[in-house]
Amino acid sequence: MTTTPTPTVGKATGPNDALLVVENLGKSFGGHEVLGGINVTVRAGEFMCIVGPSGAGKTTLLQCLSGLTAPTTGAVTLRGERVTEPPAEMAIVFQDYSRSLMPWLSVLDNVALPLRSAKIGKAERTEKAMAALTEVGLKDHVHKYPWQLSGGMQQRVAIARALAYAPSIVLMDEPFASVDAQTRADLEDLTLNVKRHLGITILLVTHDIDEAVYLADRVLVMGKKPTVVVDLVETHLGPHRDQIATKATREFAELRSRVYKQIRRDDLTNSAGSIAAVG
Amino acid sequence: MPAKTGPRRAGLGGKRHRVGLGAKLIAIATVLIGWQLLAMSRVAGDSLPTPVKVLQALIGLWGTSDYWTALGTTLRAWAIGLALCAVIGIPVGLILGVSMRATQSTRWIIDFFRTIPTIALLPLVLLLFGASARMEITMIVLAAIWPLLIQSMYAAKQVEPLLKWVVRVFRLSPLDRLRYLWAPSVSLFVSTGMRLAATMALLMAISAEYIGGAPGLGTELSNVEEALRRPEVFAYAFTCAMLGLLINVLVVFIQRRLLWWHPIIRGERAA
Ligand SMILES: Nc1ncnc2c1ncn2[C@@H]1O[C@H](COP(=O)(O)OP(=O)(O)OP(=O)(O)O)[C@@H](O)[C@H]1O
Ligand SMILES: [Mg+2]
Repeated sequence: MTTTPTPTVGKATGPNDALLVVENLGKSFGGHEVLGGINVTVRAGEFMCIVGPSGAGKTTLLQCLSGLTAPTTGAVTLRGERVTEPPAEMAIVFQDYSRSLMPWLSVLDNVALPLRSAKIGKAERTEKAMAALTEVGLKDHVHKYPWQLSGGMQQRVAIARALAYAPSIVLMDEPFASVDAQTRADLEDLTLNVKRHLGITILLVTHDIDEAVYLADRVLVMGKKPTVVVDLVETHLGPHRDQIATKATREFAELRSRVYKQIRRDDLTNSAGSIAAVG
Repeated sequence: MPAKTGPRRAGLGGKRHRVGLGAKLIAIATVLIGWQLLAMSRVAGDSLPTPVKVLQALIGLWGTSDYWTALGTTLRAWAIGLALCAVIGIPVGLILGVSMRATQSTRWIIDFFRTIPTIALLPLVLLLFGASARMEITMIVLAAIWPLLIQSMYAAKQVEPLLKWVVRVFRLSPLDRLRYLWAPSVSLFVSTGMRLAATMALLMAISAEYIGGAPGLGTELSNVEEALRRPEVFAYAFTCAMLGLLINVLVVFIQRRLLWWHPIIRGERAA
């Protein structure tokens, strides 16, 4: 379908800081081609945001990156090893957060459950789960059940569960889509802080271009199906960001319009379809 | 698969409305008075004993060891039969349910065996084991395993696919997956299967005794019937009915204790 080869945008990365390498990743569902050859290298310790129109295959991409779904073509390697099952150092925050929590376990038990695979005692598991829940501001709700919480709170439980697992790489699929603006800003800053302190690598899918630019070291822009990487934008906004100051800078505005134009251009050439541009 | 929140298909017979105790008592009293009047009238002749006579007969039976031995024997066969159904039916059902191919290839066999009226197999089983507890237990298993097997097959398909991914991502051990994902996920359908099987097992236990002559309440029923002791016939029939009711109440109670977190049970409570 694609007449032009996938543009290799962004700076070439040295082999030393390449953490996750995606080579010519394609995925079809029964002849219906969704991903049409994705090439990207995720650096260790970077925050990469993935934006693209609805149905572009962002969720599908994350599934392939984690080894939950086998790609039709191409390969994913983590530290040089082929990914076929979710690696031990990876955690995921699923888009469908409410279904990703277990209704028969309390909030605390939901967060502590993944720690069973690490060989640590119950007291330590509880302690770590409590710490993660405190971090996302749910300290007072740990003994409730997921279905007693609002959507945004459930989403924070899912985030706490991923953090408590102490991964080195986290995949997040629209993790802030269902929270109010203030909580959203808080969670964005929380995520940035956690990333800075723990030095983890984060791949975050979002519809919100402002959010993508604000959070990311690099923004990966996906086109329409069959999807390839349209652009990979380095933000150079530095490690410290501020909801008001950073968003008021000229660099921010330029980055924002660059990403926006990339999506728009792709949107126009493919006619119909809409994207949520701003949050 | 529907989300675990929001409206969902009705389970366990849908929403229940609380009926006042008073209304229930009035209904029971009406039936008893109607029965008493009917029994005293000429329409029924003396084939229908009055409820008072039946109660007297029942109290009389409570003083005999025959009654309690029969009750114990029936309950024992019922419990063993039901336990066998669970031990065989639940794992087999779950395994068949997990794989779509296994479900499809075994579906017709299960449907075939399920539709055979089990009582028609009684002569065969009698030939094998005679009028014994073994015969009775075999009959119970043959009759009651099907609802459990089929409910377990459905249960295996009900497990939230996203949660299967969650346990993979967080690399839970197979034992932990069983304990924290599979057991809670299948418990609603499996317990519904148990409820159906428990009722079916009692039905078959009493039939196998009454028709096949295995010791228990059914045999006693047949004995007093032959002796034309009509109030006792009613007393035994009443015992069987109460047993059925009690078993059902017990299973529902356990189900609610176990599944209080489930949207369907929660919804029922809220109503
Ligand atoms: N298991 C599946 N079987 C068949 N088609 C699928 C499957 N999963 C995804 N698709 C298709 O792949 C395409 C991309 O889906 P995906 O969920 O990855 O999009 P997305 O970019 O995450 O969209 P959104 O922003 O709405 O979440 C869609 O057209 C969808 O119908
Ligand atoms: Mg998605």
